[in-house]
Amino acid sequence: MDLLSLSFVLFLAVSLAAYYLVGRFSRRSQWVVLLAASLAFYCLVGRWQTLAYMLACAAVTWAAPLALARMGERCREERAAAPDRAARRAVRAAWDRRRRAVLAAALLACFGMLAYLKYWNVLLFEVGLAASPASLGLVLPLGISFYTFQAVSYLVDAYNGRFEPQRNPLKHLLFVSWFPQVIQGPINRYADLGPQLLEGHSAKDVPVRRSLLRFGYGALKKYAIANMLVGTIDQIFSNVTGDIPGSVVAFGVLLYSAQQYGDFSGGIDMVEAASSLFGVRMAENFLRPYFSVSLADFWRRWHVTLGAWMRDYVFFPFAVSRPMRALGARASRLGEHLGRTLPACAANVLVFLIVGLWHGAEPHYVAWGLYNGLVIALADLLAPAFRRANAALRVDTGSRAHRAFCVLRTFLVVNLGWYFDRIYDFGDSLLCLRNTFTNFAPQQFYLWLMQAGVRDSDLKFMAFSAVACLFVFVVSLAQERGVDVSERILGWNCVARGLFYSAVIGLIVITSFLTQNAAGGFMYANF
Amino acid sequence: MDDDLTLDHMIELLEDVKGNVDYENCTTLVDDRVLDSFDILSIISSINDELDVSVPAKDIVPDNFNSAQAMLEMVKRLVDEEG
Amino acid sequence: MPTSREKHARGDASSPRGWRRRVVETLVVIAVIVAMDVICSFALEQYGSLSSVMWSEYRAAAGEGIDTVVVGSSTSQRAFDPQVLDAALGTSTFSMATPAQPLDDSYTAAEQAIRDHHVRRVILGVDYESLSFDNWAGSHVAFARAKMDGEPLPQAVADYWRLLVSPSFVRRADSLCALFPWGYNHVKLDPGSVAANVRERLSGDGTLEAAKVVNGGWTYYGRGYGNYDNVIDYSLARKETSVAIHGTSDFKEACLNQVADIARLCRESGVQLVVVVTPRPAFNVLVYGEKYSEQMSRLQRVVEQGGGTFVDANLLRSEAYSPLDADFGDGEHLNRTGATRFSQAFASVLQALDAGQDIGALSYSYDRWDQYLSSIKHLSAIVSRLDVGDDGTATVTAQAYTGTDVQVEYRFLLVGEDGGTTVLQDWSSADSCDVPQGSRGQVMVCARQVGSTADYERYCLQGLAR
Repeated sequence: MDLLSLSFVLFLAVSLAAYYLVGRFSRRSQWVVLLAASLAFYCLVGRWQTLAYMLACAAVTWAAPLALARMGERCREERAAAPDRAARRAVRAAWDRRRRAVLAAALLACFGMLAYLKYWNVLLFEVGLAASPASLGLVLPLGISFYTFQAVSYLVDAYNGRFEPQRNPLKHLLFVSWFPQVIQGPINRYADLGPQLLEGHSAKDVPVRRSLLRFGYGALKKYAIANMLVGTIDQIFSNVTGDIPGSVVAFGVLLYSAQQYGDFSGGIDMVEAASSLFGVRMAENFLRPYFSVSLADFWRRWHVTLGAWMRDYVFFPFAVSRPMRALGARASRLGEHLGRTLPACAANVLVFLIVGLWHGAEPHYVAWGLYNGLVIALADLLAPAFRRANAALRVDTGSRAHRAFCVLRTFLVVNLGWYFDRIYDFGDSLLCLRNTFTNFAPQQFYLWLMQAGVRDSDLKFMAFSAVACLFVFVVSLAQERGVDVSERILGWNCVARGLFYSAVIGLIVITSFLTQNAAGGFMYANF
Repeated sequence: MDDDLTLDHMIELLEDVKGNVDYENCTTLVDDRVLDSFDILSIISSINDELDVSVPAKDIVPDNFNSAQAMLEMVKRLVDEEG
Repeated sequence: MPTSREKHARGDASSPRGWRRRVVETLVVIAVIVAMDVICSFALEQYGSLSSVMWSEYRAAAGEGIDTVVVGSSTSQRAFDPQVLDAALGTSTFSMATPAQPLDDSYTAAEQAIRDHHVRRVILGVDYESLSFDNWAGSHVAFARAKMDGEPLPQAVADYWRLLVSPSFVRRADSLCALFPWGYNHVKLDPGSVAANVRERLSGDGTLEAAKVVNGGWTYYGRGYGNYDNVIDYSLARKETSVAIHGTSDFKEACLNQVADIARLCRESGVQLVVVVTPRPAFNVLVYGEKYSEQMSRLQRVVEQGGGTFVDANLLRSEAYSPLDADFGDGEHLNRTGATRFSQAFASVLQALDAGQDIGALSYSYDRWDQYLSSIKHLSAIVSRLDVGDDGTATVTAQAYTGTDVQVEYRFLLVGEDGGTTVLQDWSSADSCDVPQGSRGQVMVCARQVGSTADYERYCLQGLAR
């Protein structure tokens, strides 16, 4: 079920009606509607057969924190009864061990399911024990990466005593299965999302028009940009040969940067909008990443919730672990800066290795993760050198020009990374990278595209995507400057708004038709 | 570690890690991304080196690092817990 | 502290007057969007589409008796001439086939004809792509819009709603986007085409006159049937194969189910169903390889299990039907003379069927595919490809589409940019030829049956890259 479809609209309409109708009688039971809607959505979009995995994940992450809490209580009781300080310490150490064992078992169960379903087959294939990466016929359950990460964050937070664990298993299931996040995130935190799901809302308080605007904005990104470009990108990178001109590669990667952003952030806009119609605000996942001033900054603005998850549950724990501190202490003999940053750099490389693997088990994803991790680590290690260079060259780091330079530089660095993300063969990635610099050959650009099966009309129709990109750019620029664009648009008079909406809808209608139905050149078939 | 750790000490320590920040008044150091995760790790390692307090991963949450005062309170609490 | 403006706005929204204002504003916004939709549809939606011709002609024939309808896509529309069938069989046939008609629209058409005219026979013309391809949103919308045109509003709305919630729409963006029908079946998006469309709409011409203007070379012969007179250029076979246009995929289960639905509709209404795979040049059958018989036999099973009769015109023995080279307009469609000849042949098949004869004997069968292959006695088409090695050597390789028993020989000529020709490789059974380094222009590949003295029976041109 596409988010932009009558079936989703009907699904939303029925769920919203039920939600606010129940709210009239009892706010305290409104959440039941959300749970029913989420489970129904999962069965409608995914396959009900895979629901069991989500239920298992929810069961584990519901039960473990309750057990941990019980153990915490027992620990306190025993400590209170202990005769002296040494005994208290011993009690605590014993219970800490047990608590850690429970946590580890629960983590193993959650990640074990994810790893088995997502990586086991690929792994067998890579070592030659499976006929294909999909030969076991394992079906990857819808949203498993997202709900697993979300549920694990709940588990770890509860372990750390951030909140009282949820006793009602169905309420917990709602947190794990909340339908707008199941397709592609964001990865929410219980402390933010949980109360919103459970507290109940009244239709009056919902910013309907803002939500609809955002839904449309997301649809525009997804249909007019991402879906329009994906075919051409595919044609370019599924035909990589030794003599591929660098100009074609660069074009393909640039298209990919637009497509990837349009697809992911557009989809997120749509689900955020859907969620907010229920009065539930999910975590933001994109903060105009292409305006970042450094790669590290980029990863705080792109897939924000995954970055935050990695930061809190991988980066910090790893960077402040005992071996890393020892490493830092040893390195600080070589220089204070090195001592401080080395553990962070190591943690960072680890994080991106995991992020790479999160995308897939194939080698090119690992390379892509390592590239990001290493660039950020190097930038940090070399930060004093950059500062000195800036000072020596009298660069005004506060100036607009410098900021623009940083944004452009980051954009290039990010795009270099996309080579490893999008080109599915690691050797091809390197080849494309080489040709970008040694064989740009712009005179072969057009000919090569035609040979790869890109049609003239495909290039011509990219004008629609260009218009959409320009629109997204203008909106993003305004948002960067702190303008509330939705508020502005909603402030226009209603005729202007009607015309504006017509234009946006028109763009979506045309591009949706072109991408879904133009196969085989039936553009103007005159039926 | 002595008990008379003051806010001034804390701010001094922070300024060593990253200058040009209004530590006395800002209460959204993390929320407004004044400090990034690298800065926070640097702060943690400074706290470790200079105050001999180790900050466990579970305490690395925005609330504990949003202001100099919050960091001070966290450090004091950690000292108490260790005792 | 909220600013005075914010306070004002908030006060507005919660007071009854604020609400009324909100509602009025929303209605105005919707009205503007609807108005723009109507204006765009007027300007951009193709006036004189073949679907609208079919429906308007069908309605115009309401008073006449119709006992047989032809449904299906353009291959069906251009294969059956109702008047030829009627002359031979004494029936009264109407063609409801439209370009790229999806099978669920064929169902709709058949259902309508059964309801209006109690027809006795439904002829469903299909080709490989009717079953391997279910992405026809454009023709779906054009069909539904044309059907709506002459209907009372409630019926029209019900029809369009049925389209939006149909299985191929409801889960996709089309189900919402089709509320803006000008995005489908629109004219070319350049000022000239749009202006011409608006002019045609305002000129007072009926859809039929408009369709003749829009579809250059198309002639309407009545009873829903129209066709072109163009003749296929076999030297362009490489581009004409359906595989080159659509790729090959297996038949979709959903499509087969739709055929089964049509069969059930006919069975329950006591109507005879004949499913016909329409004729195409042999190369466009051979291009699928084994896939053709493998997939088509699935269709045959579905039709026969549903109580229908199945005929693959491509497999008819030459005594029953044998198309001429010039019968085809392109790789998939018959032209007018081709349709006339096929309709005559098909009328005989129907007569045999009506007489209770076993018409299976008229055809080769899918499980004896070799018999079909050896029955092809002519060279249907030749295609070529160019391989350039790493060292720059270029080789042209030819592939002939013909029967298994036909001996083919080839000749390769270089046609220079100035039009002069030199022989690269004279007649021989070798199907590939190296092109000398530095050659420019095109290689002309000629092919004929061994024993022939013709300059060629088929040829194609291979461009040399760079």
